[in-house]
Amino acid sequence: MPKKKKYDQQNYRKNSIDKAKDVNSKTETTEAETKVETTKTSKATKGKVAPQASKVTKGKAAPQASKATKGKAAPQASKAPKGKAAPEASKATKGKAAPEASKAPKGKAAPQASKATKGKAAPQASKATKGKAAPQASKVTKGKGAPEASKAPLDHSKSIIDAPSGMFSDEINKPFEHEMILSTGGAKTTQEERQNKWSKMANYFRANSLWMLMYCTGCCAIELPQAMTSRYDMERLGMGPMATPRQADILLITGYLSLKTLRRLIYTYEQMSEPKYVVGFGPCTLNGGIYHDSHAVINQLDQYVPIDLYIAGCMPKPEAVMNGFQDLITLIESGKATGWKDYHARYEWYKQNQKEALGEVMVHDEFHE
Amino acid sequence: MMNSTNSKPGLSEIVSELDGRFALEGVSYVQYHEVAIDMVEPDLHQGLTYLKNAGFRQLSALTCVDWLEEGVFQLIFNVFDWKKGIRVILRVKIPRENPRFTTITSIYNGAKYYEREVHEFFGVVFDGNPDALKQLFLENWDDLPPMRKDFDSRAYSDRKYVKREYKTSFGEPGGEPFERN
Repeated sequence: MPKKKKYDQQNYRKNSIDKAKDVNSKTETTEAETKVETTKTSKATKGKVAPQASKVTKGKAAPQASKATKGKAAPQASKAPKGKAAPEASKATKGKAAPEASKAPKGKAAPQASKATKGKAAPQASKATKGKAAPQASKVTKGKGAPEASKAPLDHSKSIIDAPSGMFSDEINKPFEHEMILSTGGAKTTQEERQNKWSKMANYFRANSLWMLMYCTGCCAIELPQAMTSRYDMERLGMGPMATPRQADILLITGYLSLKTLRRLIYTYEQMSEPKYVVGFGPCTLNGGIYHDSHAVINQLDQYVPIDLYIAGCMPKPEAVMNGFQDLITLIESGKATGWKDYHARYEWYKQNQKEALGEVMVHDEFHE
Repeated sequence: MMNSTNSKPGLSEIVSELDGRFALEGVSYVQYHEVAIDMVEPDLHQGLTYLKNAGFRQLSALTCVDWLEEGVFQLIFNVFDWKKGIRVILRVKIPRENPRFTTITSIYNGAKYYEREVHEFFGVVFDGNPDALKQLFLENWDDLPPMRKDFDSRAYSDRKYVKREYKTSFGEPGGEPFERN
């Protein structure tokens, strides 16, 4: 029998770093050998410095140094609308480099050093508001051709510009426009594409921090303490309970809903901020469960509010609960949990159903009047 | 079988006191500490007043039973004496057609919510309770009071709530066992 390799806890990290260094140095040498021509003149020393042509409408031009360890270096024309240009050194060790948004404050131009260490980097768009300008980022691409930026999957600058929060006004965006066209090699991305990229990125973060509002109407709620506490530990998925609908992402409905509770549920759901996701627990939310013929209990919850996920079982065991939450996270991350959008799209239909069952959603009782 | 001899001390005395004052329809010892007494409608308020003064401070429950075949509602008043630990259940029958009863909120003030509940689920109107007709549990109810025996809960549910449709047949009750498609 082969001897089992002992796990060296002390030196594990050190070893792995050494290993990574070896690999890097190897690739560097091979890159150096296969160093090839760029579209413009580039000097490839050990540091592989490629000077870049930068276009400056006014003022002086400064050479740009870019370091390319891997692949071909593709210099890029940069425009500085006014003032002096400052030299910029960008380093791309590996993979595709994409431009990055940098802002030069009023007055001095700041030399910039952007580093794209590995993998995909974000595009760079430099902006000179007044006075001296900061030149455009240099770009190093792997493979052929310069305009690779449009293929870069993460496009931070554009994503931030199109953030739906409205914190960037159109006026501020304007100087970015032509530079972005340059940085993407002339291919202008549409609003929709940028929006998609933004929501993709947002979904990633949404899926990893979920706060739940638990609307425990039925017996299924007894399964939640196990799921939340140390045995199954929901918090390792990044989920936790939240006390108020205003700050919650998930509305958890555990069990049957009478007309009276449904009325309050709709209040609660509409108070939550978007994006919001609804999880139906147990068969009562699905088809009425054992209360399917009761005069007081509704049968299909998704007629009244959009449901993103059902967890089956009467009641679902904590394993099923955790499994359901995993699925929900997957749905959110892949952008398939779109119940809240559906509520907008079919608002009239939902309202009609609510009205048919409830008569009126508005609560009239001694506590509300 | 419980009777007056093996019940809790104090219980049979209360029954004999009530028996001397009112015309009782029937007495049954339900448990060691509990007795149920049937009374006629006009005597009930006096009976409750007597019990409250005798130490039965708490009205534990006020509820109703629908005797569909007899055509009556039976109102049930459940009072408890904390010092002696004994319970008396007073029962009274009222006609099922146009059921009305005088409120007991002047004796037990907490009865006002019980009376609203009985009105909502059985349709008994309590005269003298200003909130008797206010809704409590069922909001915007649009049918017979649901706890009446002639109310068809399933038919109401089928009519009112959208049912989920399944492709699989689950068979009829008592029919052939279903086969999964």
